[in-house]
Amino acid sequence: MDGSVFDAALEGLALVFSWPYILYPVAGTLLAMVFSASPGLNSSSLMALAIPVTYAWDPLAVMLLFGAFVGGATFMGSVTAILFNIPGKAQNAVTQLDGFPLTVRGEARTAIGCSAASSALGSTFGIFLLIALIPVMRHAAVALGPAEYLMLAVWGLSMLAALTGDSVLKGLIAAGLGLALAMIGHDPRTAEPRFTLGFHYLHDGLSLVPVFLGLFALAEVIHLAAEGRKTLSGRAREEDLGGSAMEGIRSVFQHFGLFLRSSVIGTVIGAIPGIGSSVAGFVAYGHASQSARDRSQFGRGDIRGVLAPEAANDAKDGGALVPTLALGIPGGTGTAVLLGALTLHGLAPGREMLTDNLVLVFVLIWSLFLSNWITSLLGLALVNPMARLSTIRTTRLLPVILVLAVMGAMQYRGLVADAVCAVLFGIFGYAMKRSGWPRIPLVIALALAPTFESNLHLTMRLHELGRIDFWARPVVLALAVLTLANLFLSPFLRRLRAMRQRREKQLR
Amino acid sequence: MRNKGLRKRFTLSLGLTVLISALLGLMLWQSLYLSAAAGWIPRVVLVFTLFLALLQCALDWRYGGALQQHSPSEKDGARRRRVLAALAWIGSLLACILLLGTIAGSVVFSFAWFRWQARERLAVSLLMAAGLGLVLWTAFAFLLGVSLFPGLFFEAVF
Repeated sequence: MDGSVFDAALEGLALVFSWPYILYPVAGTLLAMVFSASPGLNSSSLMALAIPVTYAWDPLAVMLLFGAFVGGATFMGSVTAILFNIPGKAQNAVTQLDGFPLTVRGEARTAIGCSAASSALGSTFGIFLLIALIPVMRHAAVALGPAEYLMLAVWGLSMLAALTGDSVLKGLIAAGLGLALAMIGHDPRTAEPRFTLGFHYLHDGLSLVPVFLGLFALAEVIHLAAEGRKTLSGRAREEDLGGSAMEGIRSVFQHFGLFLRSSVIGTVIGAIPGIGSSVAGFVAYGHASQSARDRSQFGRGDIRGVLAPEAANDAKDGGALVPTLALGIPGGTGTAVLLGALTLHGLAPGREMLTDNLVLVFVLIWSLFLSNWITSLLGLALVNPMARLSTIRTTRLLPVILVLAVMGAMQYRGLVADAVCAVLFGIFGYAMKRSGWPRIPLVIALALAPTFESNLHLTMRLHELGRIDFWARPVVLALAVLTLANLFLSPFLRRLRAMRQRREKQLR
Repeated sequence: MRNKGLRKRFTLSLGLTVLISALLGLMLWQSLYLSAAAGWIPRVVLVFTLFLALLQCALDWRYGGALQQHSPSEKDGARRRRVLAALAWIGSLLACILLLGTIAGSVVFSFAWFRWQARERLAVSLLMAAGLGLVLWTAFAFLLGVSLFPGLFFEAVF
């Protein structure tokens, strides 16, 4: 890092912690926490609401506030996912896969502790990587084209092999169904409507939030009602709950290698424009499941299933600022709104941003860093009251979950039809849960399909025109190797390990 | 005797696989009307997935009944009734929201749930439903300024 970058970093840090500027990230974080705890609402909506309010503010205050909005929104969405199976945002959906089973087992405190620790450390990792990459990021971001995006989607889809549960066939069908459902709407190339069946609602395609809320939150409500469970955790008193926040924090250090790998996945995917924030967590979860020696507990309450997506989701925030600030290309919806706010205040992204306004860039980065730590520390402080929610009688909790899930589905686009969609997917999700069908491949395929399809079209067209040589691109080759390793190396190693264990048992 | 055998083979998993196959079949049929440029990727995905779904149908038909551990019991009957009740409650929430809007609909629904499903006392039910409505209104409408669905009834009246 050259001297000017280091000086700017220090100056930015001093500004963030100076009075009265410190109030902006603190207030922004608290607002983002409240906002993100409501299903269907996210930091993008909060930023959109804040743009007219902050129009007359000076750029420094805006950077502080918006940095806190980006950083403060992720964690609370995970808390609702862990406690009630309701993801605050699509990206939190992956946390609930193992977080909610931990709550059902009475170990909500461990899950929240792990989520808080991996979020704070993951974001720190992402931010420091971002700072280290500032001098080179302009060149790196333009090196990626449709071929790389396509291979990234293929890599993500190859993770499905690890997430199919007990039946590979059912997992593949669920993934195929997810891909097919994602194709509802307009064709990305010809704009021809597909599978709309004459419904105006389907022209925009299925929105991820109602589908996620239906498949997981509403399906869980039906399941809990059907089972006649007294409380979420099966325990009526707080003293009967197992686990602790400390155990959750410890688990991050016990699986530190996984934490580092997940943070790298999050930062890299976050830095790729247009990939979508929900993908990072899913890819990290898939990696955690595939690289685990014993993956039998994944989906049933494995702490690694909370750690990996949480680290990736928070590390992604730092990475997502790379293309936004360097090229003016947002990494996701949140950074797109942030970009709009920066432009309104006369801060044009690009070379000028990274030279003349470098201090402001660091103010944004440190504000993001601070807000991530505030949310995690507050989360840790509130572990016990939050875990107590899992001891409330389900008859009192279910209507609240139901109302929040339906409202979350509706608020995302303001359509009542989205609530109906969530309910239909809720019934479908319950049937899948009851008959042992995996739901994860369906949602991953649904999230990855648009990237896959549009970039497949683009890559093929560019290849036909002779504009790219697909196999001569180093990133494509690296991702192809990773995909092949996912498909063949991991199962081979797992089989080898099982054989070795069998032999050891026989020898004993 | 034959009916009993058929009933044993027809599991929830088979029903779901048939539903998925039917949906995929419908989508495949629809994709035949798309242009070559818009339809080739969906067709590849759908043919492959439909093939797998039909294979799963055959497996469920052949082994599904054998995998079912127990015969339908009273417990299953009670669960089925509870599932139907949950679906009815979800349907009533949608109806309440559609008619009375997000906040009023949620309050009416939660009051009905607390009173008749949870069998809480009238005062407790009223208090909890009103509390939920107040929290939702404060968080969404007052603090965040989110425009909430007003409901068909209030739209027509005001």
